[in-house]
Amino acid sequence: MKRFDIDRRVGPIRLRAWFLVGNFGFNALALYGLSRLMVEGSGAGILLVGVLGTLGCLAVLSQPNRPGPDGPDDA
Amino acid sequence: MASEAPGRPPGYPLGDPIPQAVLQRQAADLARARRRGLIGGLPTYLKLGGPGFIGAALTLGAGTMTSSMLAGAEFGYRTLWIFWVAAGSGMFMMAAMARFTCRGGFNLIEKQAELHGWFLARVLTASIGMATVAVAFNFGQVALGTHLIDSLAQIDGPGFPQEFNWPLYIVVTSWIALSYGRAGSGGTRLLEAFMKWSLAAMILCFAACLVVVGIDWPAALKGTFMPWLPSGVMGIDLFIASTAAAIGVADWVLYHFTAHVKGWRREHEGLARVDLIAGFFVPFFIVNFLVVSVFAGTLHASGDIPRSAAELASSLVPLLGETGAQYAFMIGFLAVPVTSTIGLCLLSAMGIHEAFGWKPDVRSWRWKVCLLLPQIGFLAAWYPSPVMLIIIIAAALSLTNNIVGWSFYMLLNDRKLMGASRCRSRIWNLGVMIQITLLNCVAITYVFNRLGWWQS
Repeated sequence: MKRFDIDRRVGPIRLRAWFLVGNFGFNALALYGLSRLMVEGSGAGILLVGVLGTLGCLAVLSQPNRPGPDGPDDA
Repeated sequence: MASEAPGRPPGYPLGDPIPQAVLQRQAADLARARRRGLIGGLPTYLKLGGPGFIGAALTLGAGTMTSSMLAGAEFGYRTLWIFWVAAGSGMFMMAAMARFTCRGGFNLIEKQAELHGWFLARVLTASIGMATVAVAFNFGQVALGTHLIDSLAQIDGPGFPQEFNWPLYIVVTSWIALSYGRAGSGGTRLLEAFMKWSLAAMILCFAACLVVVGIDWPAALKGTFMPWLPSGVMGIDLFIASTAAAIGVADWVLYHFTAHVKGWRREHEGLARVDLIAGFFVPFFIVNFLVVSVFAGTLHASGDIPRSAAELASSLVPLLGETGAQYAFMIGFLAVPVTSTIGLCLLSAMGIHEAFGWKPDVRSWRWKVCLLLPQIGFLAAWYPSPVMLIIIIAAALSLTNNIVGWSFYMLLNDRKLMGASRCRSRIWNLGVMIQITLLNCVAITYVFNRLGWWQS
């Protein structure tokens, strides 16, 4: 099975950096949901999506960089 | 690429280089300390450590103390848990700084500029995260420090007004900060010893006050280990602000550079980690625990609670009763702004040099001017702190701290840069990401507040 390589380049930046941006987006979504929930009593769905997205991003971003097929451990 | 060869050129040639013989002797001492175990080797670690103590002394400033005093006065012991969570969540990024210094051996901001661009490195990290913070936040330290000198003189005497005592404050703090990196490693040792003894003084003095006012141990232990927050948005604000404010860009980069000044390399990484725990985490938590407990035992639920550090201190002193306890509180409290001012002076000099890409030289006039720039805060002896300036800088910090964190996380996981020394632990990466997520939340709640979506 092909390994999920978080450090491959996708567009201008590495996938790891895209996940950082994604994490930020989900953090904002969670806080927006929370603010709606506190002020209007609605927004639980948005909060849930934000929290789950944040947890997903954290799980991916916690992966260390593994030695790849393209080079040795030490550069 | 990570350079790990012994005898490599220092990554931050700030002061007189530490002779190789001294570094080799330290490496031998550390190897012996490792064999004795953590407890047996602790005296060696404490003797050789230092940057962690400087970091704790910088973080424990007027702002942190005001938050602790308010927390104790408003919520009693119930928010004690926040302090170890705040400092603990920051330790992972601090360990990354130790890794960059000890194994990377490079100047972090230079590498950041090379790999992530000059704006992130020179503007967001060096200018906003270090230099402007140092200048703006020293007003509060000087205001508090000079107020405390006056209060101390008033206990048994006529007082020593701020308008006259500020030269004493400025001269002492400037002299110690200017000595850093000079006279072989003597100046560095002087500053580190001053920070260590000041932290010890804070702990002893606040502990003495706590003995006088007493402590409700069951409530304190419950508050330390059982998370509690005030209800509503206020509780979330309190949690995000407290956890994210404890350790930020200034603490990260200062630790990296002060560890470079010590000449630390691969063999010192274990020492660096113990230094972070024993020098940073433990004093940070103990001082906050003591201050919160003193205020929880005195001003808690007393009705109208003052909002500034100086007013809070003034309200507390009569409640301490005994003159000895009043002196103890004032002396311990005075160590707070004094050590922070010294740390901010170092931060200012390092930040400005990195912002412009200048080579630091502690003997140059340029270094001295940059180091003394935060002392413009002496104006706080006469005038109120420049609130607008502080608000603007705090806003810039809130919005950019997290982006600098992203950059450092990427560097820690950069195989080309760090080689085999890159982060290889899922838990370490997760710890760093939790702190970054908290910093993201600070930036987002700041914007939401401006948009009126987040109402405390």
